[in-house]
Amino acid sequence: MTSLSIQNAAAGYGHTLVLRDVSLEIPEGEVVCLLGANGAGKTTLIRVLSGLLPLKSGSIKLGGDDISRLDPISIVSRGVATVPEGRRIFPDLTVRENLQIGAYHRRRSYAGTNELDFAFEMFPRLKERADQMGGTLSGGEQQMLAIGRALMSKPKTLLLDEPSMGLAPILIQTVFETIAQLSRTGITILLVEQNAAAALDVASHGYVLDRGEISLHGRADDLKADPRVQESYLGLA
Amino acid sequence: MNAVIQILSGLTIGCIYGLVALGFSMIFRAMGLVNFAQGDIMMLGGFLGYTALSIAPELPFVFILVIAMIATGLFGFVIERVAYRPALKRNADQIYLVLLTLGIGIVLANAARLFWGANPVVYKIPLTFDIVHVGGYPLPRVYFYIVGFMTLTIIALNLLFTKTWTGLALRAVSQDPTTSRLMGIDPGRSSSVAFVIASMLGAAAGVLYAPLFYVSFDMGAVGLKAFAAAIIGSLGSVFGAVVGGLIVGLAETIGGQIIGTEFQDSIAFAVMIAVLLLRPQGLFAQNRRVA
Ligand SMILES: Nc1ncnc2c1ncn2[C@@H]1O[C@H](COP(=O)(O)OP(=O)(O)OP(=O)(O)O)[C@@H](O)[C@H]1O
Ligand SMILES: [Mg+2]
Repeated sequence: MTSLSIQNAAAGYGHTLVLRDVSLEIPEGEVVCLLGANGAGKTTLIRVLSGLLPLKSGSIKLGGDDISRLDPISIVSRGVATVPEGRRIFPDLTVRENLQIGAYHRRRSYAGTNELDFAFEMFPRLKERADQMGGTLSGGEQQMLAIGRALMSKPKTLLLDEPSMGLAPILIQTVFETIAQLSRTGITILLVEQNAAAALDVASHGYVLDRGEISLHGRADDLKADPRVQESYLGLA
Repeated sequence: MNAVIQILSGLTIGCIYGLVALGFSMIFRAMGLVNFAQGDIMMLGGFLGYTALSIAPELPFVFILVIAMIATGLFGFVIERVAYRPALKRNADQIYLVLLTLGIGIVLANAARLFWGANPVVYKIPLTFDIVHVGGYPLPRVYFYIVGFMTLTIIALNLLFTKTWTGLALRAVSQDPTTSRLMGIDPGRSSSVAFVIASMLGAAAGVLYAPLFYVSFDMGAVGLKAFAAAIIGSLGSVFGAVVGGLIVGLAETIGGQIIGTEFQDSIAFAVMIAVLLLRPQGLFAQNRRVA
């Protein structure tokens, strides 16, 4: 069991609490989506889960282990990879190097450049651009690269922070197809999204974060039918 | 004939500046910090080489060089750990960091004065007096050591940055430390590596400079010219540091001949000011990718 869960989490910056009492569970092999307005604390939750931001209280469990106090290095080594908000591609590394650095934590078992092949198969555009600097890619290509980079760590769990942000509709569709495809390979996924309709389609469960607290959660189908979700996040009156 | 020798000696001293400038650039890239103690690190390397020589006068010069580099590298490691990194962690203001590096430089210079005395020392080895004739030109043998060392350094740094995980991590951290941590990189380790390499290059500059001139507690001023060199080549650029060093070395030697050697020391800064007026970001700002 490598489900990832967080219990009664509180976290924030300085003295301001952004997350008050957040509990959430991502069962192994499933896609769970996290919805919420701008500033609700979604990225903050991702930072907590990836080890960048310490918890003020509460706990995080991965499988049976308590990982609440671990740093990002230990967390990625335990198979939890992050596709951060805004993609955060290294602008002055080549596409190839950006992918390679995703494997940094397992560098001792890294078998060389042929390890990049699966990423190039998944995203052929990246192969065409392999020797180009990351910073020169288009937004869509950068998102592919950010996902490819995270996959290079051979994760069991993937944290995705708004992967469709700023992309053209056709690319948004590609991103969600990629997520569905990854899910079929057995990867456990937490998907933070503003694009609620598409996120609820690909997810099995969903949570709604409202000003630092979980206001709703349930099966994705039930959330889609919930009038509160329809009104606030699906744009249906 | 005289001009050829001037140019060669300008390029050689330029390599010395380039080695120290590389240190400025590596640390700036890794930590966003201008380490004004870099010139005093060069002095420390020169003195450590001197001490190694006085303990073991028969030791080949290359060993002296390596010993001084290792000892100074260790020193750089400790300084980074106990002084710089804690200050950066506490988010100290840039102005305090600058003062910290200046302070460490001053402490180093004074400690060297206490330990090695106020008078300059020379390496009493054959290399100091060894002249070889190449194409009819009499040249100090150490010129070839200096140029050779610089060449090896450029090759080694290039391999480090493009072919090793450590080098890849150094570049990633200099671009985005937070995202680097998500990849499993420890930015602290990168700053250690940068400091150790910068200190080793500074030490090499000191040891290679000694047979041409001398070692003295107040030679940290050479480091300021190297700083000018790093700025000319765009602070943070490895390639720029080397070219900046060569530009300063050449300008100073040739300019010194034209307008008088007593003005020689100001030429590095005159060139720096001229470059910054024409190109405020330095000559190689585009070239943020390593060499
Ligand atoms: N580094 C920071 N320092 C201080 N406050 C921060 C920091 N990062 C975020 N915040 C604050 O925390 C709150 C939650 O921010 P967060 O980025 O987690 O929201 P979000 O749900 O991801 O929003 P968005 O949908 O816009 O990405 C906001 O009020 C924000 O201003
Ligand atoms: Mg966010």
